[in-house]
Amino acid sequence: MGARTGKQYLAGLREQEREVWLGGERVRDVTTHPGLKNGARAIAALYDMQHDPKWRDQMTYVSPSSGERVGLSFLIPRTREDLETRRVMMLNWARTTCGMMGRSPDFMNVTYAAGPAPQISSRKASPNTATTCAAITNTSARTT
Amino acid sequence: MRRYYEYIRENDLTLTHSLINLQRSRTVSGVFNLQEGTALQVVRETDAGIIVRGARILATLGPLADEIGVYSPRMGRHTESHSPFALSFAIPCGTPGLKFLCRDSFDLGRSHFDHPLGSRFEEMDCAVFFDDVLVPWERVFLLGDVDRLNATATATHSSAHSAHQGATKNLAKCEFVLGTALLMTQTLGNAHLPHVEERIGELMLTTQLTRACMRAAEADAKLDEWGVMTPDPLMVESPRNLFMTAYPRMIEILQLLGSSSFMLTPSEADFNGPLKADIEQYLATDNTAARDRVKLFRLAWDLAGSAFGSRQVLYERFFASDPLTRARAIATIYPKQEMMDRVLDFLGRDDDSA
Repeated sequence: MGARTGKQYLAGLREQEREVWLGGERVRDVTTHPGLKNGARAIAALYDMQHDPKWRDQMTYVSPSSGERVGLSFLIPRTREDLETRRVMMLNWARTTCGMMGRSPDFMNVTYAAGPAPQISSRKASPNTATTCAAITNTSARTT
Repeated sequence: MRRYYEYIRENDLTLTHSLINLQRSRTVSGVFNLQEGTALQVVRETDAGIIVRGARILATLGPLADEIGVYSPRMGRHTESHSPFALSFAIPCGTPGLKFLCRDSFDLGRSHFDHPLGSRFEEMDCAVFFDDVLVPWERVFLLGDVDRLNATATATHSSAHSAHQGATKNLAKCEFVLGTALLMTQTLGNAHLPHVEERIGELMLTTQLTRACMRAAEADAKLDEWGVMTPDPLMVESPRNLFMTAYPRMIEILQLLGSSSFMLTPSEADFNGPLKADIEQYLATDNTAARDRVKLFRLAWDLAGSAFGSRQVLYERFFASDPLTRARAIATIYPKQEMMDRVLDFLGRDDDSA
C-alpha cells in the first residue's frame, strides 16, 4: 500500500469498528462523531501532505522492501543526515498541527523503527549482537 | 517485531499506545502497584495466542488510531513477581473485548473563529479496558520475561528517538506560542514596555533552547551497536525535562500578557448580532480591527485558558512522566565523574610557587 492519503486513513477507521465510549454512549463512527471527527480530519490532513507535490519529497522515502513511497518517520536512520531528514518531516507535521497533536503518527513510528529488531535480517550478527537480539526480540518460542 | 515494523510501514498505520497500569491506591509509590484485577495481565495461554485482562492508561489518540501498542515505560522496573504483567504486544483497535473510555471532548462544536485549536486538534485521551482480549501469538513481542522487558528500551534506544520526535513537536509548540505572544503585544501596542520585553525574551529563550537541543542531538548523534544513528541521549533528555516546567511557564506568560483582553472576546455570533457596530468600534485597538483582535485573543485563550489549552498544559507537565523520574533519568546518563574530576583537579592544583 505505501503512504496513505487522508481519505484512506479515514476509510480505515470506519472499516474497523472499535468499541469507543464517550459521555455514556457508544461511538458508532469516530470519523463523524462531533467530539472526535475534527481530530480525525487533522490526522487525515497530515496523511494528505505525503501526496501533496509541495511536500511529498520531504515527507516520504522509497521503501527498501516494496519500492513504494512510505512515510519518512519509518526511516531507520543510518547517518546524521538521515536524522535531519526525518526531523524535517516531523517538524512539517508538528507545525501543521501547531504542536498541539503530540501523538501524531510519527511518535509511534520512530519508536517501532528504533532498535535492532528491524536490522536482524539485514546484518551479519556478531556473537554480541545475537545475545542482545535474543534479549529484546520475541522471547517465547511460540511467538516466532 | 521486525515483521510488525514492516507491516505498519508498508500499510502506513496510525498507532496509539498505553504503557501504564491504573493504580487503585498511591500508598505504595510507583506505577507497579499491581493489585489483582486492575493491572493488565495474562490470564490464559491458548493455541491462538494469549488472553489478557485488565486496564491500561493513557491511550491518547486511541479512538483515532488503527492499532494499539502495549509495552512498558523505560523507567519502569518490573521484578520477578510481576511476570504475568510483563508484556509487549500490538493489536488492532477493533479487536473484540478492547474498550476505549474517552474523557470529555474539548471540541465543543464551535467554529474555527470561536475555538480555533479545539475545533481542529482534539486528539482525545482514553482509559483502555481489556476484557479477555485475545492477542495472537504473532503479535506477542514479549511475554513474562521480566529481565528482557526491563532491558528493552535501553537496548533499542527507542526513547532517544521518541524524545527527538518530542523535541521537534516542542519546537513547533514554542514557535506557535511565541508567535501568538508577539501578535498580542503588537495588537495591544505594549511591545515597548520593559516587563513585556522581558517576558517575550523568556519565550524566545525557551524556543531557542529547545531548538538548540534538537539540533545538538542530531550533531552529536552516534551509531548504536545495531548501526542505527541514535540522537544524543543527553541532548534529547534535556529538553524533555525542560518542557515539563517551561511550557506551563510559557502559558503563564501568555496569561500575563493578555490579562483582561482574554475577557474581551465575543463570539463570532456577536459580530453578526445587534451589538456589531459597538463591538467593532470599542474593541478595536490603535492598529487592529476589532474582529482581528478578537480572533487573535480567542486563539490565545485556546492556548492559555480553555479546557483544550489547560489539557495541553497538563499533557506537557506529565507526558514525559513525573519530574522526579525525569531528574533520575538525566542523572543516570549524565557524565557526573567528568564534572567532579574537573573540580578535584582544581582542588589539587599546586600553583603556590608560581
